[in-house]
Amino acid sequence: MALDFFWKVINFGVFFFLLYKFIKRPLSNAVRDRHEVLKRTLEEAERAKEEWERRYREYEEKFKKMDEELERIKRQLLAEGEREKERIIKEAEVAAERMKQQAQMAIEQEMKAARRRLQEEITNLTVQLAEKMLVGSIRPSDQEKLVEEYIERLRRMS
Amino acid sequence: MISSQTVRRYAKALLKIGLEEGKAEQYGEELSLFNNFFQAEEKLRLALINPAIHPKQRTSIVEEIAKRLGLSEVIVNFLRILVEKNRVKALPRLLQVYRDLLDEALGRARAVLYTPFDLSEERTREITKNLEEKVGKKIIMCVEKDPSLIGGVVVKIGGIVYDGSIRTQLRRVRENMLKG
Repeated sequence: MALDFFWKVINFGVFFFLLYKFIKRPLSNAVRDRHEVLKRTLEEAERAKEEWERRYREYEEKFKKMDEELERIKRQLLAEGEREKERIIKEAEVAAERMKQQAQMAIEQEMKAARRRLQEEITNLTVQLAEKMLVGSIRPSDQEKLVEEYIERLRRMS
Repeated sequence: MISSQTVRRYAKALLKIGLEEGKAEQYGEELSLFNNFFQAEEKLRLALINPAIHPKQRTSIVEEIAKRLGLSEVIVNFLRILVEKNRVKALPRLLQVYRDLLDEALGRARAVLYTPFDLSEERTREITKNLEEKVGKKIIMCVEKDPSLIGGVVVKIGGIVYDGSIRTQLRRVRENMLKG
């Protein structure tokens, strides 16, 4: 019984020795490798975390800047809109003034033309009337006087 | 169309002969006589300008007419040349140029006196005399009646007009009224 136990202990000892002898190095290597892998993974995770944090900060910064840019663009657009509005109003005012002046000029010209036509008509009628009156009323003695005046003018000219 | 230069050349040539012979006035009158005939007789005019008729036939027509009209030899020759050279069509223009050149050579001008009423010889002479003094040339005056003048007279010498008519005075009145 004791011997059996003894052999079992010896057997276990030999087994343990052999196990230790043959498994220690690969196991140790495996543990070390695993440790390395874990260490690298952790490092990568740390780097990734840092990278993401950096990017987050960058984006945060960009978003902040974007907000500022949007605000600036908004202000610029509002200012431009205001300027455009003023320009359009000014142009409209100028156009309205010009149209007013043109209309005024057209009215004045029309009035002038109408006055001229009226004056022409009155003049023509007056001259026609005078002509009618003269055609019948010029007598040979009047003609004689006119010829005398004509000769006198010729004398003065020469 | 015969050029003005050609017409002038022919007129000058005839005038030169006329002046040399002292018959420039006579040649003008003869040319005018033939021209009147030429203008009045359409058949004659068409025959003389028709190139289909032989020049000899056309010159014989001219000679026959000249004989009847009693034209001088110089004029007959002149007309013969015009017919042979197919330039007889320009006869009215040629006559006008000849008259102008003759007037110029003799230091005289032609004028037309327009009047709405009959004008006495004395008044016509008076006007002519005064105009002669003014232009420095002898004036051959032709009187024409123009009732549209209403009163007064108008004389035209070439391109110059001496206007003393009521019609023109009324026009001036009208222009002044329109200006004023």
